[in-house]
Formats: sequence, structure tokens, C-alpha cells
Amino acid sequence: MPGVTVDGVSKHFGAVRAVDRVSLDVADGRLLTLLGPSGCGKTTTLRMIAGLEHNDAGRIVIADRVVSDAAAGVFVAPERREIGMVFQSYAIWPHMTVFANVAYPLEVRRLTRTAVIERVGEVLRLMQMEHLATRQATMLSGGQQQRVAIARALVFQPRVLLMDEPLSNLDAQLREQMRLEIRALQQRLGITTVYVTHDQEEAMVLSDEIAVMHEGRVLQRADPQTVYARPASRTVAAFFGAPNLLAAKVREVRREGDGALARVDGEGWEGWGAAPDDVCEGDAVTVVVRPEIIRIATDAAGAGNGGRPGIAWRGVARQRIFRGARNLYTVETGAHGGGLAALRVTVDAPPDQTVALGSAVTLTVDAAQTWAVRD
Amino acid sequence: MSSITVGTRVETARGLASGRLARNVALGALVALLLFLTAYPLAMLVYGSLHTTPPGEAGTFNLDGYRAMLTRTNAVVLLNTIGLSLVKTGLAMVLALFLAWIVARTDTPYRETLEVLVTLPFYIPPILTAMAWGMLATPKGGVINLAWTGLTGSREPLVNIYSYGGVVWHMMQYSTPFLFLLMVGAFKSMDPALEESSRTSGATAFTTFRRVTLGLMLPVTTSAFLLSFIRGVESFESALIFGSPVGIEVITTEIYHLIHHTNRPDYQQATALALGIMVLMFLLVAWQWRLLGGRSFFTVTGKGYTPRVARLGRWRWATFAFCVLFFVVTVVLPVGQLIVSSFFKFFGFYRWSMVTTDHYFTVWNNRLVWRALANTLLLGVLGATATMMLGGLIAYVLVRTRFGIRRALEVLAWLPWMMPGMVLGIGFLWAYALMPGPVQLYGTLWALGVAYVTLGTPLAVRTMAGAFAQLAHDLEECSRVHGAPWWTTFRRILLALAWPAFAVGWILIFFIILRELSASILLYSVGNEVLSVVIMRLWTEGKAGQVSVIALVMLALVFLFRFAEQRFTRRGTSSPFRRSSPADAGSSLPPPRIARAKPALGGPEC
Ligand SMILES: Nc1ncnc2c1ncn2[C@@H]1O[C@H](COP(=O)(O)OP(=O)(O)O)[C@@H](O)[C@H]1O
Ligand SMILES: [Mg+2]
Repeated sequence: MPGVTVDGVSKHFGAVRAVDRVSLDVADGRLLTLLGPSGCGKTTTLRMIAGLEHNDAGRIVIADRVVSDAAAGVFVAPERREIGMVFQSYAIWPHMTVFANVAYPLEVRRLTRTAVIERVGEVLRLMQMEHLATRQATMLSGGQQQRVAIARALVFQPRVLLMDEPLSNLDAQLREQMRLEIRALQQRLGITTVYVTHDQEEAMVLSDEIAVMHEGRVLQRADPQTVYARPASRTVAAFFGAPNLLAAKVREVRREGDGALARVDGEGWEGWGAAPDDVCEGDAVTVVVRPEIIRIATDAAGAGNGGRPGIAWRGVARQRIFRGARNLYTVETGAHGGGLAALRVTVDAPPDQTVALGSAVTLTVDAAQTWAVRD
Repeated sequence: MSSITVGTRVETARGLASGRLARNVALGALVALLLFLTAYPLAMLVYGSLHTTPPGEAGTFNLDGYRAMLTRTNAVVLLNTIGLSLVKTGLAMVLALFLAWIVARTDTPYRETLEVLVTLPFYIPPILTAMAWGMLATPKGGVINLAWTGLTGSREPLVNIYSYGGVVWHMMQYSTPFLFLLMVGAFKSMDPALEESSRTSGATAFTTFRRVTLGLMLPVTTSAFLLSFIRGVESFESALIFGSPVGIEVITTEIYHLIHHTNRPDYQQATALALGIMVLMFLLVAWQWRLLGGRSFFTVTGKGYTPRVARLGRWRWATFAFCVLFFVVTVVLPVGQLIVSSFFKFFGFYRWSMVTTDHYFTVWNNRLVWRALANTLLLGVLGATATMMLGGLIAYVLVRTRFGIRRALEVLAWLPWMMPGMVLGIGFLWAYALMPGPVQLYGTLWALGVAYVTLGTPLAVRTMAGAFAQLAHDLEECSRVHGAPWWTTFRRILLALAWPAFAVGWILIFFIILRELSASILLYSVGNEVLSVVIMRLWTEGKAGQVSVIALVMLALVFLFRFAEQRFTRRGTSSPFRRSSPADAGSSLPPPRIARAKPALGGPEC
């Protein structure tokens, strides 16, 4: 199966543990994103797959071929791993034309001239860069360089495509367009891809699966929906947007079907939230409540849960940030005079739902849309 | 294009064991080669200084060489060496600072052209101007003295080049453009705000120049001074031609005479002296390192400032004239003299009836000259190519890898930097005499070639290391990942990108080989002469006319290559050397973030 397997791979730079026993596997034709904040070891992991760094420990298998095994002393040189790679800087060779850049991987594989011309033509057409074939590589815009870099990585039909933050040097608009284009291309070609980014939105748009990395380790590996809605830990949750992370204690667990419902008790509030199977009574948890799923209403009637289990808070709207398509409210709750510090909850509301600042509001959310993770 | 699919080839991994072996073998070969080129001749100096008989003869070992060294004559030689270099460096420094200031910081007209003219003498082999000045300023029949006696009716000659002053004068002609080249960049790239704030603080223009401008220049001037001084200590031609005939000797000429001009060549003492000068060089370099904190030269990185330019008013024509005068004295006069004497039957008798083209025919028919020209060109082309390739490989290991052997390579490649040609020549004489195995280099052209490669290596390494350091790692890694093995990557990416630096380094090393006299004169053998050796021989035979003809041929070569070099450096400036690849947001064209792969200076003697 021509996928990629990374098995317990580590990399140290002096005292820095850049990558710490990372295990991943990418099935044939899938796109896995390594997602995490800057410095968490994404690039190092990718470079180890490419053979640009030696892994201190662990094993890397590409298309059923062990390319690196620290224990057995196996290390296949990068040029023999049959990998296409798009570098963050694009690494377009400035002394060559667009054509020469893209032709290079074929030339070093000693293809005939006609075959080279044909293949390069095909790939440039695919990337809509044909008209620039004779252009000197330095005379390209950022977006065009990006396309050349992708064309070069694909031209020799590699087994695996590696991309290191390929969009981070583009402006916002181009970035969104290229995101979709890369995804479409990857699915069309069905090429196994490992993609690195620190942008969670990019990761969600692009990926079949996401591996969230933090300080050299993989915290969670799952499809985008799961990572978003059912984060494995507080750290993972915090990485996606700016969710409300509310500390609470589990009072009661009701298991049903493929999940569990937990009655959670926070500082001045309580209710029912979804939780992983193995949660127990008495556990300290963090309840993840995303701002965009909270309903906000000035009267108790408009904010009901319709009988479904969920959580409700009462509070006062303190601040509003106008965001065009949405309004972001900060609501102060829990100040029931019980000597507790005010709890702030952010709510991301649609624009037609306006609430006067200072007015009393009720916030409600369905249990299924919350997620309680153990600390 | 659905044909792009991921292949399903299943292959067992072939370990890098073979790759690692190849790499270690290549590294080992590189170290071995460098050991042979630099450490071996150096070690042989120690051997030779203890060996009682000339290289290749059976002998015993004793300390006579060192004992013979400790004489009053040698004390004077040492004082001469240091004194001459100190004086010439001081004078050249003042001149160079003034010229650099004119070119970089005034509104003198045609400054770009002036810069080219002022630096031109640096590229002319010293032996050529030495011969020319020997003809221009000799007391009997020198053009300058003829003009002086003719004009004033005086019977006393005006100048005598065969004197301390003559030696200094000739050395200065090289040191001035050399120092100029080292310092002009610093003048140009000075942040104008630093001087402007001095002016707004109430300092006059002159005080500002003295306290701020020169103060800022101090690290550069200090290191340039030291470098030029060190080069002066190891220089050979000036003292050989203007000093030796009147008994002014320096260490290099003393070594030369011990071997060539005594009844029985005293190799032992010559070798001991060579080691002595190595010790002196080592002390100087160590002192230089201490002063500059581990660097051999203090460089100023340009920040793209437009420096303040002093408005000179009418005086700008005076500064213009000064630069032109410098060019006339250092280039036009000597070259003119060579042209003139190539057309006159006898040196010093300039009458119409004496005009002749005989010298050209004599030289044309001289088999020795043709052979020497062929040898020089062959050694120049092959030597420069080999040296740059070697330098490129070493530079790669130094700049781009983390191999433990790096340090050793760096030191080995740097050693020749403080070995004067004369010292290296003696070292190789001993080395060739004791070559293990059946390979015999002495008596072949390659005896010279090997020495030339050694002499050029430090410059080649510096040039290529500078160029490689400017290339982003991604460019190289990207090539590896996409299927190119190391060697292909080195050739097609690194060398291709550093190509202008390679070309410039190549030309500078070609110059070194073209002008090299001190090692050549020790290592050549009959049939394997080079041009500088032939010129020297004809000069001692008093054949000024033929010397001039050959000198003109060499000059033509120099100007040709200098012209080519300028083309390359200009190409170099417009070629895309980026530290990192296009990382600019948006769709705008990448800004011309261009770093020059500028060749390091200080290679050629001066
Ligand atoms: N060549 C290197 N030498 C030393 N430390 C390195 C090197 N490369 C990466 N690191 C360190 O390893 C950690 C992970 O780096 P990297 O993989 O580049 O992170 P990311 O790509 O996720 O931003 C960082 O702390 C970084 O400083
Ligand atoms: Mg990174």
C-alpha cells in the first residue's frame, strides 16, 4: 500500500526535543495535515519523511519500503525516496526558467528530451502555467512561484507529496483560492500527501485527516470534524478558534449509544454536556463550548432547549465586537452574588440577533454540541 | 491529466551504507589531498632545515642551519623586511584613504571610471612594473633622469630606483590599490545619519571627518593595514630587482640568494630562514586575529545607504586630476616605457635611427619564450580550474555540512595564506625530493602546478564559501528531494548559482599564477619554464628590449582577463543570489534582494 507510515520517530537538536516519538500513518491517496503552532516540530517531521534530517529513533516507511530505520541503521538518501516536495520558500531555482525548474526532476532521472518536454507541458497545463514556461523563475509573482513549485513536485509522478506551509507566503485572498485548488488537485490525482500548516482553517478545508502537534508530540489524529467537535484535550480545543473553556466537575454520567452524556457542575452553572465514553463521576473536566453554537436571547422563552439536554447560563451582555457577518458578544455570567468571580462567555451571534449592552441575557446550548474533556 | 498517480513499486530499502562509505571516502580523499598540498611541504621545511645537504642527497642532521641564521647580516635583513613593509604600508594607507574618500564621498566627476583606473595597477604583475621602473628611473639612461638632466642641465640624476626609496615606491604601487579596494566599500556603505548627527551636534566638517568618519573606519583601516603589512613582509619582486643590486636584502631575497647565488647552494640555511619567516608570519597573523577577534578581515556589509557626498566645488577637478595622476604614474608611465623600449635598439638611447622591430622578431623566434608562454597558459588554465574546483568542494564542506572533519579542513586550506611563495617553493623542493612511491613531480611542469594550486587554495575557498553562504539551503535540498544525487546537485544548483563567483575566483587565481615568481623560480626545471622566470632571466642578461616585448604580451593577457572579470562581476551583481527564495506575500514581483557573490580580496600578492 503506497502510503506513508511514521513509527515512533524522534529528533533532537542538542537539548531541544524537536520531535518526540511521533507515529502517523497516511493511507494511499489521502491527505494528512500536520497542524500545530510554530516550533512544534511539523517541519522537522516532514523533513525526516523527506530524508533531509536523520531521525534519532523510529522508522519511516514510504510505499511499503523502509526508508529510514534508526535502530537498523537504514537510511535512504532523499533523492531515492521518490518524493515530491513543496518548500515553504518554494525554493525555485533562480538561475533557471520555469520550464527548466519543472524539467529538473525528470532530467536527473535521465528521461529522453521528448518525454521531458511532454511531461513538463502536461504539468504546466495542469497548473495553468504553460504561457510562462520560458519565463525566468525570478520574474514570477508569489502565486506563480507557488504553482511552479507544485508543478515541479508533481512532474515525476512521485509516490508521496510533501508540502510545508505552501500558502503562508501568499496574501489572504490568494491563499483561500489556492487552498481549494490544492485540495481539488490532490483528490484528482489521488496522491498521498502530508501537508504542514499552522492555520486551522486551512487544515480543515484541505484534510482527510489532521494530526495536531504540540511540543514535538501528536496530541490527536482524526478527521477534521472530530478534531473540531471532539478535541482530545484542552490544548487541542484551544487551538481551534477561541472556544469557551469552562472548568467543571462531573456529577453524573449517562451512557448512551456511541457516547456519553455528563451532568457537569461549573462555577455558578450546571447542565448536560457530551463527553467521551470513559469519563467518570467526580472527574474534573473542561467543557468546550464554541462561541458560534451558543444561542443568545433577552427573554428566557426564546432561549429554551426545547426539552433537549443542554446547558444554560444567565448573564449580562458587556461588550460587542462588530465583525461584519457576525457579532461577537462578551457575556458576564455567574455573578449571582455567591462570592464567585464573574465568568465570561463569548458568543458569536448572527447579525440579526442584536442585544443591547447591559441587558440581561440567557445563553443556551445543546448538550450534543458541547464537549467535556478531562484535564 | 490523471496519468499522475502514485506508483506502486515495492522495493526493499537499500541502506545508505554505500552512500555513507562513498561520502567518507570522498572526505578522506579531500583531507589527504589538502594534507599533501599544505601540511606536507610545511613539515618538510622542518626536515630540510635540519638536513645538511641539498634535497635528494644523502646527508646527516644538525642545527647548523639555525646557527648560521643568527648573524648581524640577518638581523639587518629582518629589520629591512619589517621596516620596508611598515613604511610602504603607511604611505600607501594615506594615499589609499585619500583616493577612497575621493571616489566614495565626493562629487568628483567620473568617479566610476576613476575607481576602475585607480584599481588597475593591482592587477598588473609586479615583475612587469619592476622592469619598467628599472628602465624609467635608473640613474644612467632612465627616461626620468634623462629628462631631468636635459631640462635642467644638471649632471646629477634626479632619482635612483635602486635604493630603499625605490623599493618602497614600487611596493606602494600595489599596496595603494589593494588598500583602496579593501576600504572603499566601507566608505560607501556608511550610514549618513551617523555623520549628519555629528554636524547637527555642532561639529565642523573636518572634525566630523576626523572623529566620526575615520573613527567608524578604524576597524577596517586597522585590518587593511595589517593585511597589507603582512603581504609586504612576504613580497619578493621589489626587493629582488631594486634592493639586491645595491645590497638591500629582505628575507625572501636572502633565501633566494642562498640557493641561487652562492657557490654551493646552502639549502639548509635557506630552509631554516624560510621557517623563520613562517614563524614571523604566524606571529603577525596571530596578532591580527587577536586584534580582530578571530577574523582575518573586518568587512562592512552594505545596507544600501547613499552616503553623504562632499561638494568640492572647483576643487573637484583637482581631485579628479589627482586620481588621473595616480593612474598615469602607476600604469601609463610603466606601460609606456615598456612600449617604448620594445621599439628601440638599445635601452637608454632614444633616437629615431634606433627605432627597430628587431626585438619582436627575436622574441618571436625564441623557442624558449613560446614554450614558457604555452607552459604559463596551460598551468594558468588548468591550475585555476583545479584550484577553484578544490576550493568549491572545501567551501561546501565548510559552509554546508556539519562534519567533524570541517575544522581540520579549514585550517589546512588556510595554511598557504601565511606561506609566502618562496617558503612554499622550498617546502615543495624538499617534498618532491622525498616523494614516496614512483611518482616523480620534480622536473615536470606539475611541480609548478601543484605549488600554484596550493597558493590559490585560500582565495578559492574564501570566494566559494562566500558565494555558497548566500544560497538558501532549500535550493539545495529541493534538488535532492526531487531525485538529484549530491554531485548533480552540487553541479547544477550550487555551482550554477555561484557561477559568477567561480568565474571571478578563477580569473584572480589565473592572475596569481601568471604573476607568480618566487615559487616558480625555485621549482622550474629546464623545459618547464614559465613567463615570469624567462622575463627574470632575460632581465639579468640585460635584454631590456625582449623583456619589454614579453611584458607587453603578459599585459595584454592581464587586460583581457581583467576585462572579462569585470563582465562577470557585473553579471554577478544582476544575477539572482538570494538568501532565501521568494517569500514575499502577494503577487508583486519579488524585490531585487540581491547579494553579490563578491570575491574576497587579498589573494594576489601586493
Ligand atoms: N536545524 C535545527 N537546529 C536546531 N534546532 C532546530 C533545527 N530545526 C528545528 N529546530 C528546533 O526544533 C523545533 C521544531 O522546529 P520546526 O520543526 O521547524 O517547527 P515548525 O515547523 O512546527 O514551526 C523548534 O524548537 C526549532 O527551534
Ligand atoms: Mg515550519
